[in-house]
Amino acid sequence: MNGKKAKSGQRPPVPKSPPAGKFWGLEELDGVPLPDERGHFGIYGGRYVPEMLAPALEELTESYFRWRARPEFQRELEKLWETYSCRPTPLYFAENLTRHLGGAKIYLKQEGLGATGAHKINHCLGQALLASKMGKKRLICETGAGQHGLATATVAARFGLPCTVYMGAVDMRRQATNVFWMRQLGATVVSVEEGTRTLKDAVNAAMKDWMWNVAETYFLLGSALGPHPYPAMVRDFQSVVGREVRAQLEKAEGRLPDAVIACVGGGSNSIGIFNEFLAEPQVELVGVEAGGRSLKPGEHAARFEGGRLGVVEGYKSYFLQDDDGQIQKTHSISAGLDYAGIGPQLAWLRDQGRVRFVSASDHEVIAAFQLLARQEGILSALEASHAIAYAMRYAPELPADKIVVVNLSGRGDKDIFILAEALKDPDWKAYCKDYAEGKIR
Amino acid sequence: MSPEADRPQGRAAALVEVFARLRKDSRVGLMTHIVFGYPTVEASRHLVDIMARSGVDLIEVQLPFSDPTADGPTITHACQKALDRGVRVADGLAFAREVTKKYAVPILFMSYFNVVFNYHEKGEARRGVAAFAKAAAGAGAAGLIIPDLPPEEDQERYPETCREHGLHPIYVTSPNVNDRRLEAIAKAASGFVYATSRTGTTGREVQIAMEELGRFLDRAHRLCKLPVAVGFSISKREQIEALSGKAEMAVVGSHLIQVYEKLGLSALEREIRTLAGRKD
Ligand SMILES: Cc1ncc(COP(=O)(O)O)c(C=O)c1O
Repeated sequence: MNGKKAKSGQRPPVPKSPPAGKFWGLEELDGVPLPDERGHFGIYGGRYVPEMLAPALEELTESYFRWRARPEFQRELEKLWETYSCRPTPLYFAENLTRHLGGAKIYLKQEGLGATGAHKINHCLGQALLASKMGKKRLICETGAGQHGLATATVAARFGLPCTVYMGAVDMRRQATNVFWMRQLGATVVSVEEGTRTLKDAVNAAMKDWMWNVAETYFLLGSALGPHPYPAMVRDFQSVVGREVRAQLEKAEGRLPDAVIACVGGGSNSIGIFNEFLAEPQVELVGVEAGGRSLKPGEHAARFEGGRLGVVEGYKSYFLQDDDGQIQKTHSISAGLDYAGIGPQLAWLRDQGRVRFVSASDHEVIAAFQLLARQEGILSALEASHAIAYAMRYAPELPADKIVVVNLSGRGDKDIFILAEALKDPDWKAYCKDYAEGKIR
Repeated sequence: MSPEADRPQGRAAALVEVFARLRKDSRVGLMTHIVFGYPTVEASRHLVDIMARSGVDLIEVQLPFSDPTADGPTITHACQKALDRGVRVADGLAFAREVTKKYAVPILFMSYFNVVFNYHEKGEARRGVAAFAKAAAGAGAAGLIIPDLPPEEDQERYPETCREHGLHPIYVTSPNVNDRRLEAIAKAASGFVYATSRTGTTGREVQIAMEELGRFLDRAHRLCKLPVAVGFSISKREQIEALSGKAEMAVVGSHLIQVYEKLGLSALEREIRTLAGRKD
């Protein structure tokens, strides 16, 4: 629990404007570097990779910190965010939902309105711009839901770079629409048949590709995890979300939020919106993990419910694993949260009591999706619906003068097959059948 | 600490002697590899038996891990199959105890850091490097090869802890690595250094650029001052002979799994004898 929460009834002070030109994530909290020069957040993070990747990660770290400090790089990226994607994304006061739930005011940060329909575009534009500055000739990435793959394929097309997307065979089946779009964007989508054939195996496959093509290729990692500098770099590129929320809420309400809620897969959208408020102890930060079907091993992806400290895929953090340290199967109705590890900075923030973690079950998530659709006319991605699900539980517990901001990390179009199946929609099933049989022209 | 305490003992000493003997005979040694439990534990027994009888100099026993990031499809698949059959780390340790009693050839454990980091004795709460090092040494291993633990991630004093338990911490390095990193490895490593012949993962047959490799091996010798074993894409006796004067040991892994899968145990035995340069 967050011990530093402001006493209820007491108004948080009006926030200072963010320091001018500050473009990236918080670099220190209570004297602890975020991260240290070798990528550690306390005991978490680091760079646990085969030696042959070390030169590439050293080059990437050096280039990233050099480029991000340049005002022209920041301006170029800001322009891409504004004109190619959609920044700032709206911060919307969900009046109907607030009234319906009867508690704190709920604001939604509409990341789903950006290009490609999810927050992933923020760090993809950032990393693709960096890759082009570094003179890299090719992009590779891993993807789970396909949202990160879609965003990477998109920026690859924009920057004129060939792109290979690794995707677990299981995920390719459940996110077939994204596979189609990625191919339309010119990317090669490789089906990963190893292991559990989901996101973690796609990460491994992309890392292996990188080992073979390390000099020319840029590995565009899709969340705030992996070896240093990815957790810090992805956070930095996503920190624009929280920065906008602060300014937008200051304008709308003249104050800071009382709580910020985000779903947590690897951690990019959550750390992106949390970062701005880490040093504001009165703002409660809540991460929502995938509770899946149940909290039995293999049925969920809530690392803090059943995980243990480990070192996998280049970083130290919490992982869902068996007694021997073998990574376990995970499950979530949302492919984007279906992953055994969690970003190292979040693990550290949890230890500090700065971020509180909860989980939402598949059932709650579907109910949340439906409620938001009916109340506000917003179709949210299943990942983001986890954050809504917790807001549904939490907002009614808070008095009406409190403000909760929910990061709506993506829109729900991509989830039509999963939702139709989960909701047992007979018309959709019939349509798919007829379509497959060529009965629909 | 007395000078004796610094000197390797038991199996670790046997590994040092292997390299001394190779130098005396001016011969390139052979380290062969198995994935423990693939396709079965019984098969692992046969494989080690063949390797020991064929005059292999070192045996690398890979403890399967679910996410082997440095391995190509052959070994990744083998690890997955072994795990699917329910192979546990404790079984691998028991296996090593059994074979190191039977054969003189030193064995090394290869795995990924999460396996070491999470290891604990049954009924003990403490996990980690010291527990694993104690168990591995107790099982008769001469060293550990952990490709995803770079020297700068000083986890629970990994290299020192290995040595305190009589194990060589073997580091894997690659041609694209700079001198500074090789020097860091030199500080931490003992026994020998494992050099990959190229970048990329294990198990793809590609032409090795010998001249470039030669320059890298010179650099590795100069900076690490340890014997060097070369692995990745080695599958032929000629390649091993070509390493003469350049490296002390060749490592063959995926190729043997492929031979075993395609042609079976007796073909594998012939292959290992050929690779070891046995003419009898
Ligand atoms: C819409 C959406 N939200 C959230 C996530 C989870 O990732 P992260 O925790 O990195 O934000 C994904 C991943 O694919 C996603 O597509």
